[in-house]
Amino acid sequence: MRGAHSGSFLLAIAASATVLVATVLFPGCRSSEERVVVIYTALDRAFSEPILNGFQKQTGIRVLAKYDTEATKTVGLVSAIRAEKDRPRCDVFWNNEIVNTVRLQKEGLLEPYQAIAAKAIPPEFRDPEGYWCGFAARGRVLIVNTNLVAPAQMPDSIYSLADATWKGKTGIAKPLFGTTATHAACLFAGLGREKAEALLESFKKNDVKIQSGNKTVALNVSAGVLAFGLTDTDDAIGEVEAGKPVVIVYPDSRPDQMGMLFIPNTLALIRNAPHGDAGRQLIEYLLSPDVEGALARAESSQIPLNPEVKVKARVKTPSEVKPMTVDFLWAAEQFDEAAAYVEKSFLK
Amino acid sequence: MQVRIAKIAGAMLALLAACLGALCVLPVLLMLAGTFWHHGHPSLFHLAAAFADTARLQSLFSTSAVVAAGSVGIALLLGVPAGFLCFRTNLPLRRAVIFACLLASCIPLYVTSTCWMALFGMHVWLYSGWGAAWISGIAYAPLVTLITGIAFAGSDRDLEDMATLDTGRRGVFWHASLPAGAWGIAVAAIAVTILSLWDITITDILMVRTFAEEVFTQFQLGAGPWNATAVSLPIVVLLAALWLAIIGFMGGRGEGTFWGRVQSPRLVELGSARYLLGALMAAVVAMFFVVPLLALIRALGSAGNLVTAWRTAEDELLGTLYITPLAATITLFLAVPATWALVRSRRGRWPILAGLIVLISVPAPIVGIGLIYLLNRDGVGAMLYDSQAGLVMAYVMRALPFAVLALWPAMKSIPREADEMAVLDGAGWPTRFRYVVFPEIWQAMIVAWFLSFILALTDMGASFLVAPPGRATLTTRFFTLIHCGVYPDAAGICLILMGIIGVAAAILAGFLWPRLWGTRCTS
Repeated sequence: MRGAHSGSFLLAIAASATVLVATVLFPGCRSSEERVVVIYTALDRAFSEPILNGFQKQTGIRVLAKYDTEATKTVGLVSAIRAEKDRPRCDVFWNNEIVNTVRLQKEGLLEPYQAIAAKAIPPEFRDPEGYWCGFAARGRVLIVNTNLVAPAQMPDSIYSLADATWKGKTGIAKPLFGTTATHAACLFAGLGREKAEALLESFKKNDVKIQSGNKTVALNVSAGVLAFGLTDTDDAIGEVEAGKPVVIVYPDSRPDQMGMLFIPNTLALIRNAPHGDAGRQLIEYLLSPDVEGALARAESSQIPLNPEVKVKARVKTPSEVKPMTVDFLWAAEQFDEAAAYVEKSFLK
Repeated sequence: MQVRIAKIAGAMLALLAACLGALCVLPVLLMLAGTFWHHGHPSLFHLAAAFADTARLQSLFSTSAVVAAGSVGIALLLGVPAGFLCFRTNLPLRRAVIFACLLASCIPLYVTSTCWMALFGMHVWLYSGWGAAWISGIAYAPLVTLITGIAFAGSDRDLEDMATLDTGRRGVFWHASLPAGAWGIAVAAIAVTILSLWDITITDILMVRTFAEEVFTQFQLGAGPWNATAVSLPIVVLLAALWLAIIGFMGGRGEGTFWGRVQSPRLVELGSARYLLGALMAAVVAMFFVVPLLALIRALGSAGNLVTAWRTAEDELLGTLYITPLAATITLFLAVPATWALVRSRRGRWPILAGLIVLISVPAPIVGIGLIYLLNRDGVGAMLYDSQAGLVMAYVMRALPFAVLALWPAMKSIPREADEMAVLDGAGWPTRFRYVVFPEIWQAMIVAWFLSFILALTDMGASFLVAPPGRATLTTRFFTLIHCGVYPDAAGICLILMGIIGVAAAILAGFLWPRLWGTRCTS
């Protein structure tokens, strides 16, 4: 009798387990008729999701998106793409900067695609072989607290972060991750190793406050904790439009200065992508003037690179501010060296 | 015939449990093995690369030690007395405090740190290892309160009564109550050590450089996951040694003193100190629950934002509320036989122990990458990887060692004679489990399930990597809503989650009510 009860008990457990496991596995099985495209996107979900929903609505292709989080840093999408290289799951990588995209290119993880819509993008923001294409850029700017910095003292260069007048009162994000890491790599590529290290060393000597992210820099400047700091245009414009006592300074834009760095979002097709055709269609859509216009109108105020975009950006564009001349391929080569220096010498 | 069916079904379930258990450990073993492999042959290349700068690593180690030791110290200092007061005394409103601890365990660490940063601004002390330790300690104190409190609640009433005859109240506490709670204190200490060591959310915000950040840095340097795994090895070894030391120390203890077959524990009457201690407890609860809760409510702004938050994250909320309990249940399904084997089986003990130590010690991103390498292959692996099974596995891998730790003392307290008599009676293992084991461990199973649920709910490092596209977890959604600060949607999600868990916890608490709160007081 006890055996009968035990058998029934076990059968009940086994049946429950089968149902539960099936409900977990079932969503992984899709109809072969359904068209899907998988995109890994580093741009904030709040800005990228409406764009992707628009593509889905327009084409009927279901978009399966994986979004990044600041908390996981780069150990998110880029690491996932690397780990999945033998059987890619992602079709399109939408990065919110460029250096890691170029690094994936160098590792042979991208597939070239000469998008029709890419032809309008200036050549300095796209790969000549079509492995990636830039769009919707952000600028690396100084956000300055007008209550703490008089007009006559306004900084005009990233070198101002090393000005002894502001010792301990300036800030940058940790230059190991995100656009600040990209900026460090571009400085190593543009200035050369010695000058770039000297610049970072001068920041360290001037007790530049390292913050956890660009948004933190912007928030602390607007709160008056810092006098000014280096951040991205989307983080700075948020504080300006919130009515905080801050202004945006576009650094190094005089003819005798090195120019301001603009970092584009980048799109790339993954090698051996499972839904390559849909991925190409998505890339064409994302590079369209309408999408860049939408991103420019959004809260993040991304800077359109396509001259056909009619929407006026709320921040200055490369046609209004002297842009820094950057070989992004070379910057990607310098990334490891820059990161190693930052880690060993700058962040002690 | 029925007995044969039961035996076959039992054998199949055991095989399934063994396969699942092996699957859980394999990804981590893959990563550890890969650390000693380079260009197709065994090599120490990754170790040499990861440990090239010994001075920097020493600095990281000392900061990590401060964060971990400080977190454990603060969490135990607050949580252990709180656990005893709430579960073993007539402290005023103790049930409300326990409920607050349950809900506080669900508050993300990020929220707690944001509250303290709002209070203290950029004060220097906060942006240090000690500041990170303070915030971690406060945040984990509720978990310590619950674990140690339930441990104290399992004290042997007969032993305490005998101690009362020979000694005073202090003697009862030191010689009977504290040994009963010792295992819970050990479990809580290990849990807080591991959680604080591998957390990056707080240390990143406070700019405190620890080994956890170094793991992420190695990924960023493009060195691949192997250098990241290599750099985590010292901590893995340290945690493994700590775990073995505690298990060895507690190995001969705890039999019949934790859950046991005791009667309801006696409540200690606090007398005139009751209200003073109650006020102190209120201050502690304010630190780890009221302050973050008020910050969340303030960030929410209006009740209408709760509806907006629900609409924003409805898919993630519902998905998470389905997947995390499922993962906790599967964890329990594996933890019970694993714990039984650890306690009773000589041959099975060491492989299972080694697997659990490996799982508990390795940081979450390594687990995630290991799962990708294991599952992302054509065939069955692809089916698992493209579904939420990979996510469930990640949760199980993170929670399994803790569930085993929670079950261990209860399993150990089952007398061998009872099991042997059942075997002599001809009972198979399902019958023995149902009539001998289960009545002794069911409360421990609830604790293990709850611990697994919380760990699954708050995991991000591993789950983010393996979650299939189009299916974000709630934790990931929470962090994508936060750029810096707790915004209305993020606050709303947090509050909705606390509400759902609070209701579920209140229902579950009904099962533990008579057992955990005594009906008589000692004088």
